Amino acid sequence: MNSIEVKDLNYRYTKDGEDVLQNINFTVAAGEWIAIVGHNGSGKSTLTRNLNGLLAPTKGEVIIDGQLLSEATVWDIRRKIGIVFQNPDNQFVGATVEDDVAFGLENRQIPFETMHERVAAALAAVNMTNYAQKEPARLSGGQKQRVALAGVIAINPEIIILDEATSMLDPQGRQDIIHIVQDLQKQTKNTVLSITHDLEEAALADRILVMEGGHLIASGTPREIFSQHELLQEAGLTLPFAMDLAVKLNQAGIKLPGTFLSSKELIQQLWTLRSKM
Amino acid sequence: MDITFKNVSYIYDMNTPIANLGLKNINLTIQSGSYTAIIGHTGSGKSTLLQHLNALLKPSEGTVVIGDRTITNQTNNKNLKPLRKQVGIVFQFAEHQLFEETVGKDIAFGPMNFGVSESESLEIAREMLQTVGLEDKYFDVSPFDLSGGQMRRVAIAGVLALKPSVLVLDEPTAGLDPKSRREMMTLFAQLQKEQQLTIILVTHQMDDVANYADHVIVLEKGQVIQDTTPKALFNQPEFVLAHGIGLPKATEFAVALKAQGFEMSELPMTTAALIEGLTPQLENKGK
Repeated sequence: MNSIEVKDLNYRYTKDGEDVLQNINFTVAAGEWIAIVGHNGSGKSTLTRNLNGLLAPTKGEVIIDGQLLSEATVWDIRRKIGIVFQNPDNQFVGATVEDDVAFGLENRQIPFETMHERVAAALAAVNMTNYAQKEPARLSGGQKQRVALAGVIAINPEIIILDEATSMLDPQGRQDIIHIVQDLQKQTKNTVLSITHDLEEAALADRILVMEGGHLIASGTPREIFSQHELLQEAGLTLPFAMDLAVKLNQAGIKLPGTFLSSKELIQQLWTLRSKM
Repeated sequence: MDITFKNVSYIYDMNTPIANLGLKNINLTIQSGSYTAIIGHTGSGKSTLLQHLNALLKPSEGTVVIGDRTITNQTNNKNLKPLRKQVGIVFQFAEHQLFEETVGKDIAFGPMNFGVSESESLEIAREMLQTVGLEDKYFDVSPFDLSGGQMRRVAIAGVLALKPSVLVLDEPTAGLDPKSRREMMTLFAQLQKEQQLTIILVTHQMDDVANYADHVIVLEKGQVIQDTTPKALFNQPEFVLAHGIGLPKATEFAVALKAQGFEMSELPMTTAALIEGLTPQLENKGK
C-alpha cells in the first residue's frame, strides 16, 4: 500500500506567479524513510505543505493512504500526518510544555488517562520530562525542537514529516532525535519524510528525493544519489563526510574501491588496507 | 574592544517562584579582534550569555566590561545606545526580524535609527548588500520575496550597517543548505580579517569551531567548563564526549581510527590534516 502518491503536482503562490513546484511525481510506500534534500528555495517545504493541505495544489493530485486530498478529506488526512516544523515557535499553543504536547491528543479526543500516559512517554522519549511544567517560550531553541517532536510522537501519526526538525540541536541531540524516530518507526511502521540539510542523516534514509528549482530532479537510494557527483553539484549539495574523505584519499593516491556511506564502512576498508602490509 | 565577564551570574525571574538560574559565576575575557566560539548543550546558557554582550540582559551579580563600558545590575537603560551600535547581534532565525517594504529600507533601518540621514543610510545599505554577497537587483525587492538563505543575509546586512566592532552570531547557519552555510561562514571570516571585527559565534557545528575560531568557551548548566583553543579542546576527546559536545568530523574519524590501531600523535581537526596523517600509514599498500 502506498502511503503517499503525488501525481503531476504543480504549485504557485499567486495566480500570476511562477510555478514554484513543477510537475512533481513520486510515491512513498508505507513504512519508508525518505529524505528530501535540495538547497534553500528549491521547493522542499512547499512540497510538504501540499501533502497535508496547508497549501492546495494548483494542478495535480495528492493521495494519502489511498485517499485523494480535497476539501472533503483534508481533516481526515491531517489526522494521519504529524509535522515538526523548523522553527518550533510557529507551532506552540500550550501554556506549559505538557499542555502543548497534549494538544494534538485533545484534538483527537483521546481519553484523559491515556493522554497523560502518552504525554509523559513522549516527553521521556525526547528527554524533556523535567521541563513538563515549564513555559515553552522559555526554552532554548533546541529544547523547543524536542518538545515539538514530542507533540508528534504522542500522536504517533501514520506519516511523520520532519521539516529541518533537528537544525538547532547539538550533534548528540540530533542523533538522539533520529534514533527516537527510528525506534518509533520500527515499532509502528510510520512513514517518515525528513527534509534535511544534514547529509549524514540523509545517508540513513531508504531513499533520497532531490529537489532543485521546483523540480524533483532525482530519486534513489543514498548510494545511488551520492555517487552522482554532477547531480550533487547541481543541487548545491556536498558529500557525507566518509564519502568526501574517500574521494580525497583517492586523489592523494590511496585507492579505495566502492562508495562509503558511513565512517564505519570506510574505517573497515582502511583497516583492511593497512593490514595488507 | 575587549569584553570581560567578572563573577557574572544571571537569574531569570529573580524573586519569583519561577526563578531559574541562567548563568553562574562566569569569568572570561574575549579579546578584541578574536574569533571566539561559544558551545554547549541546548539550554547550557549560550543565548543568555550572548544577551549580556550588549546589555539586553544585565547581570544579576558581577560585572560585564565591554570596551570602556561597565555593566552591572545597577546600570541604567539610558545611554546604552552607543554600546548597542558597537555590538551587533544576529539572532537565531534573524530573517524573522525583517519587516520593511524593500530590502534596501530594511537594511537602512538601523543606521537611520542611530541618526544617520536617509540618503546616507540607503547608501550604506547598498554597500552592505554587496558585502553579504547579494546582487544589487535585490535592493528594491520586498525581503519577503527572497529565499530563506537570502533573507538571512539581508538581516545580517542590517546588523553590519551599524558598523559594529563586535559581531555576535547566534547559530547563524541553522537551517541553511551546505553551500549557503559555507558561503556565510566564509563571509564572517572575511569580515574578521578585513575589518578587524571581533566575532563571537554560538554554534553546534564543531567543524565550524575547528575551521574558524581561535578561542572556544564551553558552557554547561550556566557555567564555563572550558576556556581554551579549539585544538586543545578537541585533543581531549574523552572530555568532549563525556560532556556531550561532539567532535569535528575529521577528529571523530581519527579517534575511531586510533581505536583500530592507527597512529595519531595529534588528533586532526580538518579533513586535510587527517589525510596528511593517514597517507604515510597507507602508502604503497593500495596498489
